Amino acid sequence: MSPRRRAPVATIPTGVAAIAIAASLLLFGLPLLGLVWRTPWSDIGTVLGDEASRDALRLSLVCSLTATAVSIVLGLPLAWLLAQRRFPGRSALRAITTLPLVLPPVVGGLALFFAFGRRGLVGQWLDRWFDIQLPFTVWAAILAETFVAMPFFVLTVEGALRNRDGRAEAAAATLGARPLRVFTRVTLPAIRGSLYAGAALTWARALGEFGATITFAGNFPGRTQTLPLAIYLAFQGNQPAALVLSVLMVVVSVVVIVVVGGRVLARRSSPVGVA
Amino acid sequence: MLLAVALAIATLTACGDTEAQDDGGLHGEITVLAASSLSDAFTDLEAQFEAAHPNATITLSFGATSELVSQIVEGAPADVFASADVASMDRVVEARAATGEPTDLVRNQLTIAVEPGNPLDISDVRDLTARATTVVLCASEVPCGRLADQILSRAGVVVTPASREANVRAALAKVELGEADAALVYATDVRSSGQVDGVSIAEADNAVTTLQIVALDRSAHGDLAQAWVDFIASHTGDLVEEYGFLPL
Repeated sequence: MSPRRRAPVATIPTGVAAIAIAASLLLFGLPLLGLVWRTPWSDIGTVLGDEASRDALRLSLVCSLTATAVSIVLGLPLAWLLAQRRFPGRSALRAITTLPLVLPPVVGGLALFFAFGRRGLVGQWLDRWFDIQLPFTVWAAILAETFVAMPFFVLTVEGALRNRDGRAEAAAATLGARPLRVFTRVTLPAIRGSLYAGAALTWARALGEFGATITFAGNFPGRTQTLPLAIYLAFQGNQPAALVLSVLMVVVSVVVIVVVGGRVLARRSSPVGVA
Repeated sequence: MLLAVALAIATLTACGDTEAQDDGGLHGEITVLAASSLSDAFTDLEAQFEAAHPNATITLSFGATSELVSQIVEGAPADVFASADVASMDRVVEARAATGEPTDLVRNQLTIAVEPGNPLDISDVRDLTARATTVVLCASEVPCGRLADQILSRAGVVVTPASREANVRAALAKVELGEADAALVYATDVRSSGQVDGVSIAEADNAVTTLQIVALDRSAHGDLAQAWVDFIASHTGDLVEEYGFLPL
């Protein structure tokens, strides 16, 4: 089968298509429309010109991009390992990798305290030996975002790796290439689409992270107050600002999803993990 | 569709209720949105109220006052609102969610929550400026944060907090977890926590907030809502003696 040929999909009946369109418009489109409708557009200049808003946007971008980079560096070996056929502890490893996807983020934030906090398993030694306190720092925000978002990268890439039939890899190996070289020269280029897709999903998730961040990193403007936190707090006092920041969040997210992820997803669909 | 089902169920339950209780007393169900500092007191008083009015159901929902105000302004279905400060109550009145005059209940003040035994020997808000001290305050958007700002500026100290938490419970929790050395929280929170010690703020620096309650206009059970307001207003003595609030 040539890689460009699409899998045959049965033609969708008109009724089902209508349900699909209605569901997507009602569930996803309408709330967005509501947001746009209520947004006080005349306040946009004031809110976006405010230093606190720009700090929040900058922090959101810095933290989410760093979290994505960490997720790729640490997630690629993990995905490769999980894609191996069988080894002891594979399902346990897979389970703890998947857990952050299911866990409420606030629980993740608490768990991070008990690991890296001042009284945490590792954190108490960081504090005592090196005078390092992670909570309430920008590192805590990055750690929280990585914790919540990295599974998206790992699972997407693992799915792509498991879907390969391994013939190209076998051929490369016969020609004398070592495993690491086969992986970087043959496998990775072949699953490029999934790598982009996984990275985009991870970035998007990190960008929207709220619960683990506000729990573990706290909320301080310019240090740990990312856009979602700024929106949450603004909504309690200055609602026009909350709405403008929400629209900003939507715009940034759409850029991430459509420009970075969507086009890649559409062109080189990765069959598993992204559905 | 889900909405329709929910409405149908709500209507059925409502019908069932009225048929079962034609005794002329207070009946129905109301939702009370209250500042989280009132959670212990209101939970106990709810049991008393429902014992006295078996056909009435009070549903309590607690949160940061400012968050509750946003919910009310956005039309949340609620019957009574109890606020941690007057400024938040004013927003509800301005939004015309309540036309009745809010009733003053009790007052509350901030205290310094520290770890048990006060290991850093904090005795005053001026001790919070030490660099090595991890201090957590409420965000300026919420009442306890506004109060903290007032106190610190009155004392003339500049504190750089590690975090400005979204509500007073979250600020207190950071000290309970041992992740922060000190937090400015309500005296009533320290009292109900039991896991932290409280250090009083000097009278000259301290500021107080007045808690208020009001029945909301949108209530479908206005008589029950008002009865709850009156009941609470007549039990402010309990709030002071048992829960540590200050009298008016």
